[in-house]
Amino acid sequence: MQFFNYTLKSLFLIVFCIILQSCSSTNKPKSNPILSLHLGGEPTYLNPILSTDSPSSAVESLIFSGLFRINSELELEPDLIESYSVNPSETTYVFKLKENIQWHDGHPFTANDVKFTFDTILDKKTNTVRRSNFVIDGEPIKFSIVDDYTLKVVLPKPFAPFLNRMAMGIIPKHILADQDINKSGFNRSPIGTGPYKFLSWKSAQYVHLNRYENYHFGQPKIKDIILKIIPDSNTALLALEKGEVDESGIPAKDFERYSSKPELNIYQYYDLVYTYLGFNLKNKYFKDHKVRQAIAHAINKDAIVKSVLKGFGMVANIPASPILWSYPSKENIPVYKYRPDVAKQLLTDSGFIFNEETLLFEKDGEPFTFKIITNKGNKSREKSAQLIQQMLSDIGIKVQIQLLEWSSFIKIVNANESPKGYDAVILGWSLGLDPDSYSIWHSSQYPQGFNFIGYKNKQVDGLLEQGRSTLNQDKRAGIYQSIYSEIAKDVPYIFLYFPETILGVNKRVKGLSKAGPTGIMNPIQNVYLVQ
Amino acid sequence: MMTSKLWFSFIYLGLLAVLAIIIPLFPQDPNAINAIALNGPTPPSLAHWFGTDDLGRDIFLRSIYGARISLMVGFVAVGIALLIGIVIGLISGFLGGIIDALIMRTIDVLMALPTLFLILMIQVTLDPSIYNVMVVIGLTSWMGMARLVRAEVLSIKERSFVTACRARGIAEKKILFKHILPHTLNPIIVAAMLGMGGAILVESVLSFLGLGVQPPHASWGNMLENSLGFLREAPWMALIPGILITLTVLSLNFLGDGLWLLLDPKAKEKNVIRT
Amino acid sequence: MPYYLKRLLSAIPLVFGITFLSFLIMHLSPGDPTLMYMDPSVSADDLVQVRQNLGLDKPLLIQYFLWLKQLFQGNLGYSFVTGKPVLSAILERLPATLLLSLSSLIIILLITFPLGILCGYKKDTWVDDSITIFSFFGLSIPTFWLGLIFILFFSIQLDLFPTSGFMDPMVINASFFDRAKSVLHHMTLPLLTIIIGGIAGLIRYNRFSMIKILAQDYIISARARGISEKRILFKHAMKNALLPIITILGLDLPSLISGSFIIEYIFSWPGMGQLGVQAVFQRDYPILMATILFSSILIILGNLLADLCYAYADPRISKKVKRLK
Repeated sequence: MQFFNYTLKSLFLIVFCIILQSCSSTNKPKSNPILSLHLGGEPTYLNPILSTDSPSSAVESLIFSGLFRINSELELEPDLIESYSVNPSETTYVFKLKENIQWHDGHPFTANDVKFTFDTILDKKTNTVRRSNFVIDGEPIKFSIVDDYTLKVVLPKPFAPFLNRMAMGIIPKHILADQDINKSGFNRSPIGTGPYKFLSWKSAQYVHLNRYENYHFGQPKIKDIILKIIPDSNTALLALEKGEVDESGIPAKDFERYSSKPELNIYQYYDLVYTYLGFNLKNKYFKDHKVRQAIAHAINKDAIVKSVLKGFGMVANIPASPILWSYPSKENIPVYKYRPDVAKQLLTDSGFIFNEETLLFEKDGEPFTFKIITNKGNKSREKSAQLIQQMLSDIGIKVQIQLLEWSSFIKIVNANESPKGYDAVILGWSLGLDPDSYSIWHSSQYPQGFNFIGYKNKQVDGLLEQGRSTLNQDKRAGIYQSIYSEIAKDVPYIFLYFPETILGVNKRVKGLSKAGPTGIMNPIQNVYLVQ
Repeated sequence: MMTSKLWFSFIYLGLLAVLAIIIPLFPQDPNAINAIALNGPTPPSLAHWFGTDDLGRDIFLRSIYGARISLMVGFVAVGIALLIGIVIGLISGFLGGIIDALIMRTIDVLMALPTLFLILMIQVTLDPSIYNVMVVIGLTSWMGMARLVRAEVLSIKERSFVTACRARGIAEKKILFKHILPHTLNPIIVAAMLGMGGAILVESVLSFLGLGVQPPHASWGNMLENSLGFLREAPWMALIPGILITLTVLSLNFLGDGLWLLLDPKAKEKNVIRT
Repeated sequence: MPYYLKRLLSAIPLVFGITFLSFLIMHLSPGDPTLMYMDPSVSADDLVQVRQNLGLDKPLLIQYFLWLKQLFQGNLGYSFVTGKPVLSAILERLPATLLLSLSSLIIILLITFPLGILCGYKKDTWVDDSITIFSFFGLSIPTFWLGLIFILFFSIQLDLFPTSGFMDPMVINASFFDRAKSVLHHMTLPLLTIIIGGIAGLIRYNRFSMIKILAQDYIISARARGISEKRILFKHAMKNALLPIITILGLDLPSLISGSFIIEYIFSWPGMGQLGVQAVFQRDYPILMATILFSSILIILGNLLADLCYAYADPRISKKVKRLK
């Protein structure tokens, strides 16, 4: 039996040593000069014209620069350009580029790079979903070089969102000119003109960046940045608590515990997003305006904000975001109050009969039931769906919920067919800095496009077109406000809430900007660490 | 020792089954949410034996409804696997020859596919629902059963009583169903017990990944998934469904093992790998 | 060796069958990689164009043959989601998976071999019973739940181990020893989870083979001749008990490479399993096809290897194996 004793003993010894060894490494010194950020997923392409996911753009924003940048007040300001001018008919822009800017590899940056970037986007062989951003009514925007540092851009017609789109990161022609951009190694070891140079990317682990000494806004203060890839938000939160990352979002339910941590600063802000319940307007029930109104009156949005968001957010009534410049003043927002009695009355008015036995509304002998689909993995949407299910069952409507994984979900919602195979969806939109929402509400975006509910309102169509081609911001604000109230009247969506983002940042990080959709480290070169 | 394991299994599974049948007779909705006065997860108490989850729902009630799902998945999935496995195993073993070879090669192909991957891929193709989960698990787990039945048939076919039947001129069909099939039953029962445990585990993984039972309905897997955000403040949300899964699968494994020893006296000497 | 050669050759159509079947199932699933990202700034026309560029608008059979053609040119293609060559995407993930699975396998063998034999030797005593019960628990616990409980207890409550990941990126510039330490530290919990889930089957297996061997004639006669128990155990029994282990190893080969995806998912371990599952959800067909190709080849090779080892180690069996197959 000695053999067993020996083996067992040595085994325990080995395990013990492993544990002991590794435990000692937890006590690493806290004073490290590396800023450690958090990515919510694996980046796809580190190339601004190919990627669409937020982890990629978080990294790209550090490596690349565009002609413009967006500051923490959500305004456009010149980045790679010195100045620009526009002709009276608002169709020709001339951009004067900054001179003496170099790529991370030392090669000079010129207008050729800018033209190359946009030509590549417009090239059909490029696997990018950004092309239509630079095509207006079927006609591409034309980019031409005047000299090395002057670029002329001709638009087919005035287009308000244009300048925002020129914030797109510029890619180097001298590296990519004779490569297949879709498969280029550049997408995994990029070179830009931004504040940080790419160093390494370990799949499913981290991206490591190094500051760029010759950055045209001055050398960044922090030498190294590591962006850790942590897909699970709970794990990210633990990492923040343990000091493994310097910044992470905090779920509302954890706010109290984290707001009292001495090593953390907590920031709250509204992002450019809203969550909604959207009706398939081709559905036999939801064709009826009154039915949609009834449901709007039956949903207690305050309760949703209170329970799903734990109060960190506000009730939404229009398709905008409270931080968008087109957001109307309070009295101009149409509101559907929580009135179950009104909801029942509206249902009766539109021909439904309440069945006392089943406690459900019926029409033509059929009980009123419908299915809400939403994407799996978004806890707030799942919870909202369950609350709505409960609220509607209280007034006599039976709701089923189905959670679908993303691709299946999109396939149903985005199918190029009419009518589509769903009743209602819970989803959120993230908006751009420009209030233009043509792709969501214009009737031309159905059945293929993001107007998948089949919303059609001639007046809204006209206003959307007008909004895109008007450049004056005050005028545009007026246009979008009438769009919002028109849509709210029609109830194609029930707008549920604007969530508040809660961000926890380690106190050792200083030089932060105002918190907002562009983050809290904008611009990054001002950020520094104290021990 | 063995008997105490069997007793444990019988009592546990019996209790679970009785609760799963009785509890739904009471008019309590396991999915009811109090939308206005939402109180997050609360720890186990007299009012809620297993505590409540983040939407204030009673975890005891939900666990019992989850047991219904798990047991049903176990039964139906194994039922499907048995049906296909027995038929194909019998045909393959009894007929032999080229048909046997063909069937065995097909089974090789199917078994060489990574099972969980296969299930995942099929499951994203279909609408996520509990019925699809049962069918998919059944359809991907009959191959082992078929091999088992075939091996038994092959060994029985050679025995003297079958030869005697043949000599007496009894129809092949009758030999197959009357004489051979009954002799394959013992290993099948054992495999079915173990298969049920396996099916319950797979269901919990699928529901954990959100491809199984849809909310608000409870299954042990999706209760676990739901507990992820509350590991620290509400560990009971994760502990209870996990313990239930473990005990259920454990009981089924004990049963399978115990039955195997009871039904096959030679089992102690046999050298069997269970997969 | 003609038999094994024949089996090897017959495996080739098998592999094609598997890839074709997977291809079909995969393309039946709704959606395609272009649908992964939806935001209002993306237009439907762009999606159509990208789909066309990726060849997703072609008929299914043509797509499969294009994939085959590429394969014969030694090219596994490029990921639809990241544009990365598939081979390098896989090679990037392989080390992490191998590290975890090889070390867990070694530890599992180190634990189960003595324990299983101890059980067999002390059959039906309290030692045997308690180890058996424990191994039944290991067989019944859902591994992902066990992982969660470990995180809850060791990471959150006791703060002994990190919750997830492969290595602390803060030590990337540190010495090799420090980096290895960090990896070990991150590896402990997933390793423990795999081990507990994995030892059950092998203990039972070893126990059975030990019982069987101890009942063999030559052991009985050795005992009768008065050879010491120790000698019987080490010289005769142990040697023979090693045999089935070899078989198990062969059968385990594929899971060594494909990794346990649910464990990798829970612990954010950057391995093959995570890559594959992500590819299922993102509909990244080239990655998925390559993963399936690799794992099916490994399963077939593993089976074959197990047979070969077995036949080599025990010539008596090779005849029987042939007959059964």
